[in-house]
Amino acid sequence: MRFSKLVVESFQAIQRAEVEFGPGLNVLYGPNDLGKSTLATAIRAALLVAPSSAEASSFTPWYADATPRVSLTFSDEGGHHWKVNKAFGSSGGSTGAELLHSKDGTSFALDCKARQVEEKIRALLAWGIPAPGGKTGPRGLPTSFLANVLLGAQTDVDAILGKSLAEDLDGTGKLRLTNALATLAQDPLFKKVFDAAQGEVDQCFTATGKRKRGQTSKFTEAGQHVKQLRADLDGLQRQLAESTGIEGAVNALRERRAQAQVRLGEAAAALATVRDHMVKARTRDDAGALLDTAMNALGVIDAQVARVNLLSDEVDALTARVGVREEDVSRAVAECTAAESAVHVAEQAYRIATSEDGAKDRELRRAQLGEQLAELSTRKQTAQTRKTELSGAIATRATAQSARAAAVSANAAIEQLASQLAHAKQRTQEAENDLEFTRALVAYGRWRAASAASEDGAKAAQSAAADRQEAEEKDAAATKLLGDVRTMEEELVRRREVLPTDEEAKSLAKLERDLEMAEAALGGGLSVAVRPRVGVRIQAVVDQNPSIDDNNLATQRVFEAERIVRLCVGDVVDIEITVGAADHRRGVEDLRARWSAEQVPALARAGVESVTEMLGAIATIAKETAVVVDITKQAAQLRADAKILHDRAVLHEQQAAKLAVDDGDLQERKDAIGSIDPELLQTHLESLGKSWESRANALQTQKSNEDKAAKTQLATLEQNAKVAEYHATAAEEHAGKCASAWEEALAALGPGAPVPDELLRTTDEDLLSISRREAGLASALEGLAMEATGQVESAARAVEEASIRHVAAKRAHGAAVAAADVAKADLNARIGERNLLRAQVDAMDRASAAALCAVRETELASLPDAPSVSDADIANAERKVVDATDELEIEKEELHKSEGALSKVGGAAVRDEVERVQDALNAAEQRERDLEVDADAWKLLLDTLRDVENEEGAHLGRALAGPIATKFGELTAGRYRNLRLDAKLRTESVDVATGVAAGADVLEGLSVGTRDQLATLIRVTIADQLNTVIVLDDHLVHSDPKRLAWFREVLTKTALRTQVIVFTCRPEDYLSRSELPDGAASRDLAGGAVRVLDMVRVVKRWEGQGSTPPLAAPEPQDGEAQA
Amino acid sequence: MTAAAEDDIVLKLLHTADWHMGRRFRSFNEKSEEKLTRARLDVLDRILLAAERYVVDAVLCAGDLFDEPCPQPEWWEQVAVRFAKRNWKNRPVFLLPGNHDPFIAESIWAKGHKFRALLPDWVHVVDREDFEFALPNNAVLYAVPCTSKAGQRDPTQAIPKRAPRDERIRIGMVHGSTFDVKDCQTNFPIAVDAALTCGLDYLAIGDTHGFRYVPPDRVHPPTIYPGAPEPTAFDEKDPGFVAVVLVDRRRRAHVTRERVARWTWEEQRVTTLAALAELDRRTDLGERVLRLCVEMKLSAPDYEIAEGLLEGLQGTDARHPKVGVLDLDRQGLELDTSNVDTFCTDLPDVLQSAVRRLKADADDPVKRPAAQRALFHLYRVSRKKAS
Repeated sequence: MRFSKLVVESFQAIQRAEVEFGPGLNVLYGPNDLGKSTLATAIRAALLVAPSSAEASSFTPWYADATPRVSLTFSDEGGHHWKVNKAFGSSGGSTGAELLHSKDGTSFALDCKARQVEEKIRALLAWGIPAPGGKTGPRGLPTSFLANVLLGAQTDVDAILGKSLAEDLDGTGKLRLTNALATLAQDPLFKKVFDAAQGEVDQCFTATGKRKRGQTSKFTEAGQHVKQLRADLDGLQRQLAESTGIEGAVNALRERRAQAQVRLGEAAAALATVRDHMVKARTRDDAGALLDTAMNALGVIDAQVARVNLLSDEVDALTARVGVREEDVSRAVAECTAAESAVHVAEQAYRIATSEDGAKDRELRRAQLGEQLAELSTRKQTAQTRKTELSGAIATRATAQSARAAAVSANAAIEQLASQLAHAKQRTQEAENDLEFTRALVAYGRWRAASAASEDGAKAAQSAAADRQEAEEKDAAATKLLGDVRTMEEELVRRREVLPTDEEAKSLAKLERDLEMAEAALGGGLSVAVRPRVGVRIQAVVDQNPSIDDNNLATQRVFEAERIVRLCVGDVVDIEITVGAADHRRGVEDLRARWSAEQVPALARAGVESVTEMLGAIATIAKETAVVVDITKQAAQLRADAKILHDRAVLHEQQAAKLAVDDGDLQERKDAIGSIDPELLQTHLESLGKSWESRANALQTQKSNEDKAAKTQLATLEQNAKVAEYHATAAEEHAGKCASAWEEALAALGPGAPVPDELLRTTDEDLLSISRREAGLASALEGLAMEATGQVESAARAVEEASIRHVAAKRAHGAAVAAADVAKADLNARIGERNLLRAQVDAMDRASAAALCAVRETELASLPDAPSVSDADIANAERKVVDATDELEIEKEELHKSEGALSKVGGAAVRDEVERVQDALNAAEQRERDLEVDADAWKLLLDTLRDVENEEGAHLGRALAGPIATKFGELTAGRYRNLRLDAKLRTESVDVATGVAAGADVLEGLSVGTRDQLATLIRVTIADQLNTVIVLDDHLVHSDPKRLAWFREVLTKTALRTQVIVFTCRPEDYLSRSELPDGAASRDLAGGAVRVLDMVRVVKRWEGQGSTPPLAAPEPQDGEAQA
Repeated sequence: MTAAAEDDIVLKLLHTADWHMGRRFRSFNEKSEEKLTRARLDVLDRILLAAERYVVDAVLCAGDLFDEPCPQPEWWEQVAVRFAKRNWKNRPVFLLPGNHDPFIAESIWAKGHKFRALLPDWVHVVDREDFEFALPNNAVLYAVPCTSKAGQRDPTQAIPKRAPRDERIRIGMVHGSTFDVKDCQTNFPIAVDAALTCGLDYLAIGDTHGFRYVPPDRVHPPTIYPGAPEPTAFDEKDPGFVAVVLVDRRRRAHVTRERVARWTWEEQRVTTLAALAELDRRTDLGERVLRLCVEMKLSAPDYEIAEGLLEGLQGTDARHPKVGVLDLDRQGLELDTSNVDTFCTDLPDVLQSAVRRLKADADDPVKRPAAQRALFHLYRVSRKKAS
C-alpha cells in the first residue's frame, strides 16, 4: 500500500492541509506544534476511525465550529486506487464516510459508504482489525500489532517491543505477515514445494480462495468448453428427440398401415366369403328350384305314364273281360246253334209225327211262326247292332268327356302356370327394375363422383394457382433476402479481409498476453533520475508514454516507470532502461519484436489500435455473419416454403388434372343415369355411406343375380306352360274328335232321335221284347207240335224243349252279347283314354325331362354347401370393408405426413452426432474434473504446508529475527546479536556480543535510544516485507548522528521498495540543507525517490491561533488505546 | 490375378464412401482434433492415388463425403483442389450425396454452389434420381442421391430393373442402411438382395464405416460397403479401406479391398506398470489414435514412473508425443498412500508432517482424489529438488 494524497480540513489544530506523497521516502519537516502528529493522526483516522465513533470527537477543530474532514488517497498491492473521505462527528448530514475506487488513479467511483467503508478498508489493510460492531469488533480507536508497526504514534516503543500479534482481534494481520514473511521462514526444500504449490494456486485461485473465472482461466476455458458442448448436446438431443419421435411415429404408422392392410384384407376376404356364400346359396337355391321344376315336370310325365299304364291295365282287364264275354257269346251262339239244331231235329221229328194236312197246317203255322221268328231274329240282330253302336257312341261320349276333363285340367294347369308365369314375369320385371335402379345408382354415383372430382379438380386448380402465387412471392422474398445477404456478405468479406483470421487473431491476442505476462514477469518499479550538468534537450518516454520533451532541461528530473524508460539526451545518445532480469528482458524484447513484426502491421491493416479492438471487430463481423446466416436461413426457409408450396401446387395441379372430367364424359355419365329420379338416387346413395361404390356394385351384382334367377324361373315356367298348353291342346283335340264321333253317332241316329242312352235302353227293351216274342213263337211252335201225335207230342215236347233250350240259349247269347258289348264299350273307352294319354306322354319326352332332372341333380350336387347368409351379414361385412378402407386411408395419410416430416429431421446423422458430442462432453467434463482435482490438490497442498508450517513453529519470529538482528548488529557495531522473536513477533531476547547471553532481561536494560532504534528497525523491516507504507512520527529522537546516518541509509534503501513517510522536526537528520525546498512546498530528490515537504507551506493552521488546543483534548476512555 | 484373368477384366472401378470431410472430433483436445480432422483431407490424396495405381475406369464415391450438407468452405475447396490437380478426362468420378450431406437446396451439391463450379467436368455430382451414366465397355452406372437426412424409401427402388436382353454391365450406387443394420427403417433402407432384384452386377453403397460384404455370404452380384477410408471412431470394424472392383466379361465383379488410412484407432487398457512400459516401447504408436485406460494403484516412486511414461506418450511442450493421438483415461490411476510416508523419510520434518496430514486426508473418500494428487505433487516436486 502506498499513500498518494492526504487532505485534512478542520482537524484539531489544522484548518487545512494537502499533501501529495511521493512513492518512496517522504520527509515532512517542520517545527514543533505545526501539526505533523496531527497529520499522522489524520491518517490513522482516515484508515481506522469510524466518523461517528467516540474517538472522532477528539478530532474537533480547536478554533472553529466545523466538521473535521480527512481525505486519503492510496493504492493497494493489486494496483487499485482508493480514496476514503471521512467527515467526523456524532450526527448530522455532513458527517459520514465514503470509499471511492479507481483503476487509473484519476477517475474515482463510489464503492461503498458509511459502515461498509470501515469493513472494506479493514479488509484491504488486513492488519488484524476486525470489522466494527459485533462481539469481536473493536471499541474505541481500533488498533493491532500491524497498525502500531505501520502507523505507530510517536515514540511508542512498547507498542512494538512489548506487544505482538497475539493481542490482535483477528488473524488477518498474522496471515498477511505469514504470507509476506513465508519466504524468510522456510526450508529451501519446503520453500520449493511451497513455491510450486503457490504458483499453481495463484494460477487457479483468486486471493479469496475462489477459482479464477477470468477469460484466461483454464477453468473458464474448460467450463466454457463443457458449457458449449452441453448446449450443443442439448440442441442435438432436441433434434434427436424430434427425429426419434418422427421415426418412431413413422415406424408405428408403417406397422399400423400394415395392420390396417391386413384388416382390410381380412375384411375384404370376409366380404368375399360372405358374398361367395350368398352366391353359392342362391345358386343352390336356383339349382334346387330348377331341379324342383324339372322334377315336377317329370312327375307330371310319370303321372301321365302311370295313368297310361293304369289305363293299359284296365284295357287289358277289359280286353280279357271282352274275351270272356265273347267266349260267352260264342258259347251262347253254339248253344243257340245246338238249340236250333235240336229244334230243327225236334221239328223234323214232329213233322214226321204229324199228318200231312195237319202237318201241312201246322207246317204252315210253323212256317209263319218260323218267319216271325226269323223276323224277330233280324230285328234282334238290328237291335243288337244298334246297341253296339249306341254303346260305342256312349263310350265315345265318355271319352270325349274324359278328354274334355283332361283339357279342363290342363287348362287349369295352364292357368296356374300362367299365374305363376305372370308372377315370375313380375319378379323378373322387378328384378330388371332393381337392376336398372342399381345401374342407375352406380351411374349416378359415378356421375356425382365425377362431378365432385371435377369440382375438387377446379378447387385443386385454384389451390394450385394460390400456392404457386404464394410460392412465387416467397421465392421473390427469398431472392430479395439473398440479394441483401450477398450485399452484406460482400461487405462483411470486405471488412473481414482487412482483419486477420481467427487463428491469427488468437495468435496476436496470445502474443499480447505473452507480452503482458513477460512484461509482468519483469517485475515493476523503475526510477530514473536525470541530473543534467548543463542544459540539454531531454526527450523521455515512460512505459511507452511520452513524458517530456524539454529542449533545455537543467534541473533534476526523476522518471517513475513500471517497466521501461527511454531517454533521448540531445542528439548524443538514446538510453533505454528496462526493469527485470536479463533473460526476462530478452524474452520481452523478442516478444516486442514479434509484436512489431506481427501485430503492428495487422492492427494497421485492420485500422484498429488494439488487439481488443481488433477482436471486437472480428466478433462484430462474426455476429453480423451470424445475422447473415440467419437471414440466409430465413431465405432458405422461404425457399423451402416456396418449394413446398410449389410442390403442393404441382400436386394440386396433378390432382386437378387427375380429377378433371371432360364435359362430354360427364354428360355421358349423366345420361347413363337414365330417367330415374335423381333425388331418389341421391337419397339411396347417401344411405350407402362413404363406400357407396363398392356397396352399389355389390347391390348391382346382387340385383343382376336376382334378375338372372327370375329370368331362369320364368323360362322354366314358360316351358312348363308350353307343356301344359300342349297337353291341353291334345286333350281338347281328342275331346273334339270324340265329340265329332259322338256327333256322328247322333247324326247317324237321325234327327229327332232320342238320346242314345234312351235309344240304348229302348233297344235293350226291344231286344227283351224280341226275346219274349221269340219265346212265344217258340211256345206256339211247341203248341203246334203238341197237336201232333204222341210222337208228335213227344216230338212236340222235344221241339218245345229244344225251343226252350234254344230260347234260353238265345237269351244267354243275347245277354252274353250285351255283356260283351258293354265290356267292349268299356274297353274302347279305356283304350281311347289310354291312347290319348299315351299320345300325350309320347309328346312329353320323359327322357329329356329325366335327363334334365339328372342334370339338375348333378348341378345341385356339384354345388358346395354354404352357410346361410343374410343381407345383414353382407352389409356387416361391407361395413367392415368400408371401415377398414377408411382406416387404411387415414393411416396412409398419416404415414404420408410423417414421411414428409421424416425428410426434415436429422435421422442417423444426428444420432451419430449426439453420440460423438456426448463422448466429447464426457471427455470435457472429465478434463474439467481433472483440472479441478488438480487445482484442489495444489490448494490442499499449499494449505497443508501453511498449516504445518504454522504449527511446526516455522514462525514469523524466525523469519524476521534474522534480517533485523543482522541490521541491529550493524547498527550497534556487533554489540547485540541473535535477536529472538516469538511466533507472534513478540520480542523475546537479544544476545550481547560479549558472549554473555543476556536473554529477555537485556531488552529491559537497553537504552531508550537503542530500544527506539530496535523498534524502528522492526517496524521498517516489517513494512519492507509487507511492501506497504510506514509512517514514522518523530522517531529516533534519542539517536546519535552516526546511527541517524545509518538509519537514513536504511530508510532510503527501504524507500526504493516501499513508501516511507517521516514526520520530523529535524530535517537535517535526513537532508542536507541544499536538499530542502527553496521556497517551495515540496521538492523531489533522487529522481523522485525522495520527496521533501515543508510542512510550514503545506499545513494551514487556524489564523492567529496558538499551537495548543484551547481546551484539553478528551481523555481516552477505559479500554481504548491511545493512538 | 493372372494375365489371362487380367485380360478378362473389362471394367475397373474404385469404390469409396463416408469421407466425412469437416467432421469434428470434439472429445479430443484441439491439437488432436485438428490432426484427425485434417486426416479426412489427406486420405483423399491416397484414394485418388490408388485410383491411378489401379488405372480404374471410374471412381464411385457413395455418399457422406462431407459431414454436413453445408460444410465450411475450407473443406469443399480443398476437395475441389485435389480433384482439380488431376487430369482424368477418361476417368469419371461420381459424387453421391448421402444422409449426412443430402442433396438439398442449400447444400454444396446445389447447382449454383461454388463447389460445383470448382469441380472439373469429369467429376459428376449425382443430383437427380434418374442419374444414368454410360461407362466404358458397355457398362452403365445408375445412382440415386439422398435428398434428406432421413427417409424410409429404399433408394434402389428408383433404379430401373434390367430389361430383357440387356447384356450391359449394370452398376448401382446408393447410400443407406441395409436391412440387417439397426435402425435401418428410417435411414434409407436397402434390401440385402437389391442388387439381384435390380439386375445389377455390382451395387456400391455407403453409410457403414467398416468394409463389409452385404449379404455376408458374398453371393454374386456383390453389394459392398467400403467403409470410411480414414477411421472415425474406436468401435468401427475394418475401417480404412476402399474397394477395388474388377468386372470380367461374364459380368462377374471381383472385389478386393485396399487400405488407404493413415491412422489406426486402438483401445488399450493397462493395469500394470510393466504393461505401460511395454506399451511405451512400441514403435508403431506414431500412427495410432490410442484410447488408453490406465487402471492401477502404484506406490509413489512407481506412480512417478508411470506419470513419466504417460507424459512421454502424451508429449509436452518440449517433447513430441510418442502416440499420434492419445485419449487418456487415467481415472483408474491411483497413488498408493498407505506407505507413501516411507518414501519421504529424507524430507524435512515440516514436509513429512505435511505428508502425514495429506495421507490422513486421503483416507477420507471425499478428499481422497485431491489428497492423492497433492501427495504426488509434494513427492514429485521434492524429488525433483532432491535429484
